[in-house]
Amino acid sequence: MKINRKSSRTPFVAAVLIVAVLSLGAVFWYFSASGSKMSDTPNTINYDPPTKQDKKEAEDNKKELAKDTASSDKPKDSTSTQTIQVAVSDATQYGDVVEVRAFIPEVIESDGSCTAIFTLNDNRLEKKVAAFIEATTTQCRPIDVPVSEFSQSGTWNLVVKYNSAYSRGESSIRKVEVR
Amino acid sequence: MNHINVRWRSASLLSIMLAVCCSLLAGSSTSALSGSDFDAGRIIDDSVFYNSSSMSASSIQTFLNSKLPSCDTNGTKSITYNYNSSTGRVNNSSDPLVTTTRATYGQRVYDWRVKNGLSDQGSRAPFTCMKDYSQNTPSMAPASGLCEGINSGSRSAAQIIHDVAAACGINPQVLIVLLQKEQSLVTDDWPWKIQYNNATGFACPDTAPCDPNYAGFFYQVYYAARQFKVYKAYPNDYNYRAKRNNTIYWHPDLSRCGSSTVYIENQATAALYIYTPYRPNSAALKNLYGTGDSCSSYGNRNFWRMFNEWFGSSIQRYRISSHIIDGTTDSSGEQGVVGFSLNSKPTNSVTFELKVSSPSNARVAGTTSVTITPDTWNQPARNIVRISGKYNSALEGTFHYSLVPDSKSSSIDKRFSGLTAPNTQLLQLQADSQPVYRLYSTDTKKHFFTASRERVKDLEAQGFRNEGAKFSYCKAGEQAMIRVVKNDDRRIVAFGSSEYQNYLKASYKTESLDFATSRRAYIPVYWLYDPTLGRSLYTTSESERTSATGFEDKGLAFYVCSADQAPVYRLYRKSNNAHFYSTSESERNHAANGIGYTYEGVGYYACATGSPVYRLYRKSNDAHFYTTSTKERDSIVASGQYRNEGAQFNACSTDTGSPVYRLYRKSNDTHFYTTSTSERNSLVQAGFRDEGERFTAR
Repeated sequence: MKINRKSSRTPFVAAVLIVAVLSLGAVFWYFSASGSKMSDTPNTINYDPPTKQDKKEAEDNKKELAKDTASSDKPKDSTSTQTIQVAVSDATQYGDVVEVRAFIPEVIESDGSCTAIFTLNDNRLEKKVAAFIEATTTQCRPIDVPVSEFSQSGTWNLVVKYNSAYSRGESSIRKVEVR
Repeated sequence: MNHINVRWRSASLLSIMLAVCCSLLAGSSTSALSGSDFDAGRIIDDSVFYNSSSMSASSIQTFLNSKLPSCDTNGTKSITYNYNSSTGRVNNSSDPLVTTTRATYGQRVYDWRVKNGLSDQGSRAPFTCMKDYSQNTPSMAPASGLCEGINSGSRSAAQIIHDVAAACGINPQVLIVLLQKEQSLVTDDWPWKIQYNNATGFACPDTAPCDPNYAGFFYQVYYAARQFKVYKAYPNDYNYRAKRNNTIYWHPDLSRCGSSTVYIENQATAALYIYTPYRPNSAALKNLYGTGDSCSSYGNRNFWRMFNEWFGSSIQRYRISSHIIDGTTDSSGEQGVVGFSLNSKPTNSVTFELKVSSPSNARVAGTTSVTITPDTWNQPARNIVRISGKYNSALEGTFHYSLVPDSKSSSIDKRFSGLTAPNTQLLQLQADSQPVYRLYSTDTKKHFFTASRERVKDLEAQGFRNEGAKFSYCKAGEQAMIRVVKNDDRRIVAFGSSEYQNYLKASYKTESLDFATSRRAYIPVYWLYDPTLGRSLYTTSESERTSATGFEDKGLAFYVCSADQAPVYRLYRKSNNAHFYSTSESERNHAANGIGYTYEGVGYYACATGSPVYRLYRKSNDAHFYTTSTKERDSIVASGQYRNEGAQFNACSTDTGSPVYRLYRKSNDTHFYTTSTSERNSLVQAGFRDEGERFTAR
């Protein structure tokens, strides 16, 4: 009986193992294929239920909304101005023009203006442009200064100032190479 | 029994092994995203960002359903928060914690805000989840070069996302992620009305409530998508630019947290930074699903993470690119030509179908199928479709339309199967003349100009009087167009034609602007609008467009033509360090897209009449030489090294133009031409030989 039982079990176990190996191979192939598809094709859509992280972000957003209990509905007090920082995202000479790009983070206003002030020794050059509302910031119109307007080549200091009814401030000093 | 036990144990073992294996593999696929994969210069590819056909409306609905299996419509789930029962104050940490239903909480938030003179955030039940949301949407007129028109109607959120994405050429997946990033609308099971009102965070100033013109779900989705197209159409006007080094700050606290330099590789990534101008720092990327440190920002990190988790890679490793070889069509037979290429060599041919999107009457001429072979994968000029323009009674005048994919690609090479060719925008021009209509509002006593028949119909429906086509530009011999304005408010009363003289007599003044002397063959006229005074300003001047105080930029109004000059395009090829100049748009496009040149812009402007400028070609160094001197031309041709390619354009007379300097580059025996004295001087310093003034241009 013992022998018989053993002999009848061996082919079954072997078959199960073969099936297991093949199944594992198939599973591995499936996930490998879907993995490579994921990385190569941008249109692989994840229809899985929301993760805990997805739900947590929704709750966090609700908390942020609930915090908004005072500031956003009322116009700002125009009798006092807030001090802001100006970000300069580029100040470089391209061809014959020095191009300056700047914006004001965390401020969204339509009435401001930006002034780029270049200085080198006793030389000074100013360019003023209007600011405009962007999706989440206030941006300065591009400030393009022809190289011909610089009195000399060299390394100029640049500061961009912003001024509006509610806000004023300036950027840190940035070096601009004028050739 | 034993037999069964053995089988059961074996099956159990197998199940456990499979379960472990599956969970490991599945786990590895979902946790594959790592902060180290975030590329600050390439958050998303253009081919993904502007792929408007990635999802149908029904697949968007299915996706929204999957992310929100149930909605807490009546707010019956519980929530814990701070509450002062005496004063009714909510969310102040000094007050005791209470737990109620969300409905009660929402009511208390409402009561507290009303008591303090604050607006209703729509916090009271019942709540409508985005998967169930619908609204009546207005009709949106086409915004030339930005979005096609959208008809009015009742639409679900999924249909709004789909239709806006299709009209504006933005991937609907980008809009879905934007809605989640800004207001968590995809996964929020009890959203408040304010989340719909500010759904994409577009146009909510600090100094006033959100602009009501842009409030509401449809407008928020539409204007965000439109804004992404504005960034693409006017890449020079914003704080971040593609293909350049940009200073990107880590956090709004600029001085404390500092910045880094990032080379932004594409327009889509630049658009994300313009919309949300910060880069996640290493702490934010290290803890990809949580918070970093006090200098961390999360907007672009979350966009990238959500997109990659929900829709696959934001970077398209294998893609089809389009190249405009001739970007204009007209109703008299001029064909547009678009070429296609792949970004790496396929093992087998790749085939896909194309069509022209509405509202154009243009069509693909001949075969609509493109097959790219392993031999032509990087040669757009060998994988082309031609598009014929056709008269369109609804859209008479100049307008844009798109060549779009009609099928996904098929190939035995699986890497290139299932890809979507990008949308390509072309321009339909009138063959000869383009009527521009003037309309007058008796209410506001203001004029409006347009070349679009559809806009004429809209304005007529609004009560404007159609005063007819006042001028037709792009017509040889047409007189100069004069902008006539009234002194007090720059109100425009006339363009062109002899009638402006009558206005001058009536103490109106003419501005110096003269469209016909502008420096482009087809000159875009931009429409600026002042909503405060209701006045419009039309200009071809880029600087006036960007500096006109109080005016909103409404984009392209129509095109006019320059009668007396043409742009000379300048191109550069690094491989042989040589420049090439041409007035031909198709030649320019072919050089830039097919034979390795980089388009550097308009070098200068040639005149309608004047001495011919001859172009000569030398095969040995694959370079060109330009001269107005027939004697020089003939002697060079006689040397046997050059081939005369004929007169290419005309020089200007010396009293109407600027000198063109010729410089010689000894290292590779080529010449360079410029009207810029500073460029000439810097090149001389770099070792070029100044060969003096050779002809005149503008």
